[in-house]
Amino acid sequence: MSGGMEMHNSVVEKAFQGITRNPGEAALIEGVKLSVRGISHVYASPSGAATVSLQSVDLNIRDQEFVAIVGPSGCGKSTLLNIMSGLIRPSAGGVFLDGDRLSGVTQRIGYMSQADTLMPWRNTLENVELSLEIRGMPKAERRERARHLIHKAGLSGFEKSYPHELSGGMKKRVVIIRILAADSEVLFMDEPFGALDVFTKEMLQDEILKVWQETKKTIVFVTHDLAEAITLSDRVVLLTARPSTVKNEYDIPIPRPRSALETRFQPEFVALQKLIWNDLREEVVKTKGGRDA
Amino acid sequence: MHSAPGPQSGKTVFLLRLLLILAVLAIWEMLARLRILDPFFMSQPTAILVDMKEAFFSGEIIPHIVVTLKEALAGLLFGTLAGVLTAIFLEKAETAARVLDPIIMALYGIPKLALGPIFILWFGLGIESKIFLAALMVYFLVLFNAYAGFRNVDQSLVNAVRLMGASSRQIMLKVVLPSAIPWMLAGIKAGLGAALLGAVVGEYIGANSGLGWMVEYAGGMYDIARVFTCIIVLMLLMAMLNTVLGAVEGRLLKWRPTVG
Repeated sequence: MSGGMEMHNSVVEKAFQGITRNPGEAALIEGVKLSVRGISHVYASPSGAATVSLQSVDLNIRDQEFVAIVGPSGCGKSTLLNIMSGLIRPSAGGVFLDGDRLSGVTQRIGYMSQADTLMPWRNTLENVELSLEIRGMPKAERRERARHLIHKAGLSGFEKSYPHELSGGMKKRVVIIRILAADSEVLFMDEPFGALDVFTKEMLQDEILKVWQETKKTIVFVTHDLAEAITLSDRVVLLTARPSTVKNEYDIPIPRPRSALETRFQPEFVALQKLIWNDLREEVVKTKGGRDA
Repeated sequence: MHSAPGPQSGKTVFLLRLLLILAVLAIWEMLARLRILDPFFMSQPTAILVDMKEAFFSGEIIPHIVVTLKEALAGLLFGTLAGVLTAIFLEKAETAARVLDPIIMALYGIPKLALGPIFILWFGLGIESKIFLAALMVYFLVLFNAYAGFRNVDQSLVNAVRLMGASSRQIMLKVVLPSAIPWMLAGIKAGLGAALLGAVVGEYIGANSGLGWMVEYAGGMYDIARVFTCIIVLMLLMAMLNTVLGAVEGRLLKWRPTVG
């Protein structure tokens, strides 16, 4: 174990030579909400070899922008989001929110993961209240807020239902309500609809489009589903295969308000999908061929 | 087993159960009357019934039931508290957990009932020594279950509340403890029998009251009917406590898809 750790350190250092840049305390760029500067991440695989998952990732996300991050599977999209949210410490680089360097998790960012993260012993109302409870909001106030949001989302009547009594799509909607209750400035979503059927997925995508339309929150959405990325976002960021870095960025000029179904038949949509898919395919091929490299 | 559990089949099962018990009692009574079984050593259902009526109507048995119940419940309470607190400590202090793991397992391996005489030397003939023995029996069961529960907490739930800005105390209170409740209840359920056993065996070894003492005393007097009376009362106590615990469990775990 300790031998592995030493090896890890030396290999990591070696892996860093050349890729580390000093990001410095960056000045606030006009209109930029969230800034990712020179993020690199190296971890030791079980065999002890150092694996570089992210290499000098730079990303500027404007206030009220909806950015989708796509890339071949295993490329470190989720790792990047976990670093941006403060769950994982990067090997190099930093994340800046309104120009302030983030250290650890912050309530200014709301997070929705692919996993089912509703507390099974709490009913809908109590689950929605959870983040407010953690913040110490008085009970009457948080209950009122939760009730209002549940009603607005059309889930009235399910306040007392436990998660196991809800369908997969409804559980996701409760998570969305919970994230809205917290009222964070920035929302991160890590493949939130990965395991759902197409129809439920489309319904939830409409829900997310509506959330953005109403709140204009800055949203970063990680997905492996290119169509989903284009449908939802203002900009798609494509990551390369490991060691991942930003390969290309694509503006999505499809007008809002959008609907998940209609968007898919727009000529721009088809053209964009073809364009991005060609670039993505190169990376997917690299992943497949370079598995043992 | 495979038939649909409607109200009809539930009633049938209950009747069959009653019939089985009555049949066993009838055969016992018959064998005793035919002198195939010696009633002096085996007693017989009618004699036990007469004795039971005697014991309850004279009020003789009531204080002993109270004492045994008190010991078992106090033991269950203290054993559970100590077990849960130890599990929380071991969960928080990883190094301590690794140091203590083999020691705890070794202590668990000691036949605790065999230590009864020592506890009676330490704590005297009163209820304290029995409470200690009962609590000790419960302690390990709850400790192992609660600790396993803590280890099995879904990390994605922990991460979710951490991302909401929860402190480690809030993570403990809002995620780890509630998700370990089913595990703790399993430990307490097993502990219930252990607590009653600890109390009765403690009384048996050395006491001046309690159902265990009564069994020992009646046995010494060759009053087999009284021994059976006490055993039946213990069985009923166990069944009653189990029902109460089942109801508590049903309330606490109503969020689960299937309860018991």
